[in-house]
Amino acid sequence: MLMMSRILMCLCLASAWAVPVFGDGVVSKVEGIIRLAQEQGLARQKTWLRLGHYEPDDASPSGWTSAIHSPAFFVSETGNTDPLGELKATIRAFGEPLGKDANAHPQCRFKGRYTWLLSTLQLGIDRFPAVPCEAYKKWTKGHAVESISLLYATGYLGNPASFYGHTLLKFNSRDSARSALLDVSVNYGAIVPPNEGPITYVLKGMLGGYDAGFSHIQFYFHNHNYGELELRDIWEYQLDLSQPQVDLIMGHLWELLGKKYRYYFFRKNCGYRMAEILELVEGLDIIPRSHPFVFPQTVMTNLSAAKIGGQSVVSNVRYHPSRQSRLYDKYQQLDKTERTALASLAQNIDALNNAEYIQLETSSQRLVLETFGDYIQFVSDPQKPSDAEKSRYKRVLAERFRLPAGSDFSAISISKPPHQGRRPSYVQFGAINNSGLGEGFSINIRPSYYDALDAGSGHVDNSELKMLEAQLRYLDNKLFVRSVDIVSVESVSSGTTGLPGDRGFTWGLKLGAEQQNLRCDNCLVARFQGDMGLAKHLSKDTVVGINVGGAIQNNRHGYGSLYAKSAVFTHVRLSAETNFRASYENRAHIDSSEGNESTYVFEGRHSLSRNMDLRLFVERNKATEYALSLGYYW
Amino acid sequence: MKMFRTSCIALTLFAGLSTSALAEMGNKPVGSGPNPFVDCGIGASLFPDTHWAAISSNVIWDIGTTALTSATASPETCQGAKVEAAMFIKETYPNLIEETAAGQGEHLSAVMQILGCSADSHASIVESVRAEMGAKVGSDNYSSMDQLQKSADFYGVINAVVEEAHSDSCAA
Repeated sequence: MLMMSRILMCLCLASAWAVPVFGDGVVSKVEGIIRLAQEQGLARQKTWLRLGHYEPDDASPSGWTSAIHSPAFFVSETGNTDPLGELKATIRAFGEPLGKDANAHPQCRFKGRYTWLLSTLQLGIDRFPAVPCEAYKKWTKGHAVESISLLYATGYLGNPASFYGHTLLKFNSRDSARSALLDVSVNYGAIVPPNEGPITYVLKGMLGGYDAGFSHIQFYFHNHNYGELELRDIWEYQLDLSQPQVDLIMGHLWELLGKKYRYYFFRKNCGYRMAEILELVEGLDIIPRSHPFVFPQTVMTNLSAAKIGGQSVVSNVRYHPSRQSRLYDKYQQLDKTERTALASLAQNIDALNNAEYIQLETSSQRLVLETFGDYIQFVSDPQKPSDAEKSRYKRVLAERFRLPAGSDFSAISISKPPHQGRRPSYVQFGAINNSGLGEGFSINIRPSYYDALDAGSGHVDNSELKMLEAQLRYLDNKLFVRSVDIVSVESVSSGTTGLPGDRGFTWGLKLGAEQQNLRCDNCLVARFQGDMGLAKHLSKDTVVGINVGGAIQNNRHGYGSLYAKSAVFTHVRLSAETNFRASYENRAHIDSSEGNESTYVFEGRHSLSRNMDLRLFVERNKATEYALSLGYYW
Repeated sequence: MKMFRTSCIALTLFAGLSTSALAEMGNKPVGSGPNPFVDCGIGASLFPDTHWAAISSNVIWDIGTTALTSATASPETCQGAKVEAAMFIKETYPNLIEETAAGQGEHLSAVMQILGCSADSHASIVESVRAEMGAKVGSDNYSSMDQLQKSADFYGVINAVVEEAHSDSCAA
């Protein structure tokens, strides 16, 4: 009995502690605010639904389910599927008395909701108990954030997750003299466990197999990671937002830190989630809702075109060049004698003692040494530089220290910002003449992303990244599939400097199905191809290259399941609107009685407008095919 | 070529620091207060071994907290501008040393801003740091040092310059 009474007493005490004890005044104020919120239909308002990341869901009683599945993101137990219940619970929580840890108070945890509620209902701050949120204040550097930028890191073909580029947010300090490197940046990405295999990684990334979330860190960390290690340029788009809009976004990001979503590579990715955050700004609509995929670059394009009240949302575009871009820009600024001295140093660091370096003017010596510093960092492995690389880097640094301080380079020029690019998906209609199969039409559909001729702003020049491209032919009254590419990547680095380690390198991977040759319309084979080789810029507008590789395929019509291949190619730009590519490929079938097979390709492209082009295509492989096609980017 | 090597995608530039180097650092009369490289866990594994996939997914949770939870000193002693400066130096050392050699640059300005140094003191600080670091880079053992050791050296130099000649101009 005594035990029972002790338990009851404990339960009573626990209940009394767990339920907030409001004064009558606070309770009446809070209930009044709830009534006001209901009268104004706040729970159905776009901004409240966006603050809760609610998405339409027929299976939910309310018709909504939050994209966030962390219980800590909700005040109400059913908050993830009940926007109204969550709103009421949030308002009540804001009225809770101050506990031991002020930073844990709902007013501090849900800073975005709190900011929005006060503003929307035009409430004075005295309507809720005053709570000092020191952690949040520290995060915002004492509310010193004046503006927000959306950043775009260009695509990186070295890793599938980075093919399409990446977006992040940066908070710009009110102190204009403060370096942007020290600004806080917020990032969104999948949470991938250690030791994940590449295939699992790709599949889970595409199919929602990973949690994802927002994280924050100083911008210099990302600047170093992308610009120095992955050699990706960063483009910064500073937004022209009012201080209340900045405060709302800041507050919302604060309440999102550490909360978990599901990650979907093709749509609900970094670009989508960052755009969602920015769409808290009334009138801003930048998510490509009608498109099946969300590409970060599309978000940048939409943002750049967006206007509120007739004013552009983007106030300034800033370029953060990668180490590679800086190297190439500096190299272009060198004259012939300086390039000669640089080439000698790249061959042998003892050339620091040669006349061709010593006799240079001091300003030229500085140019050569600083370019060489970029070159060494570009060609060496940042994780494990060899002893030789460390030794020559040290000698160049020491020599640079010996010379007077100062820099002689012009500022790097900005070219091709990503928002000036075309749309990411492509459809093409053409008229065809095939010497073996007759005349007819073609339809090509490419959901993403670019090929060697239309690689432009924010893409890798002369390279190719295609996913899920399908080519259909209707020839001689027969419809058939010419090819389907699940993925096709061709990376061409053309070696701008021609120095050792930067002499041009290509590699390619392609997985899909295609007709064995142009003469056949019923010999579709599944095929996986790979190649690697060398490429070189003959001039600013002309690239040539060679590569060798092989393919594995299903054996059909006696062509065997393996072949080796070698190819030569060129890409030539005639003007800003017109370019072409030409290639010759030789295939040697390994386990087939078929002899060698040759494929000749010529493709010319003329850009008619930003989102339309005209192409002439000629290919020969057992038959010759001519196609004239009109393409549209969507 | 570099893009092809997924192994290049790495944040763990310098996961370890030789204990002898740290012990040597600890005996140096450089400035006052804790040396973040010695006392605050920066010499330990700041970025735990990070898988390539996680890196490419761009998610690093609260690195600052991770750095300081492994500290041997109390959290109170491992906060503030000095720790922030040390982390910045460690992360961006190649840029910093190249800019120091050139006598100017955004990273160089940033580290002085972290240390709270007024803009009109920057040129003088850079001149002193450049002279000191020039001597260190010219020494025989520089190329055999790993990046963490070099970063610790840089921190020691700039901290000493600030403490000894510019304490009035710098808030740290």
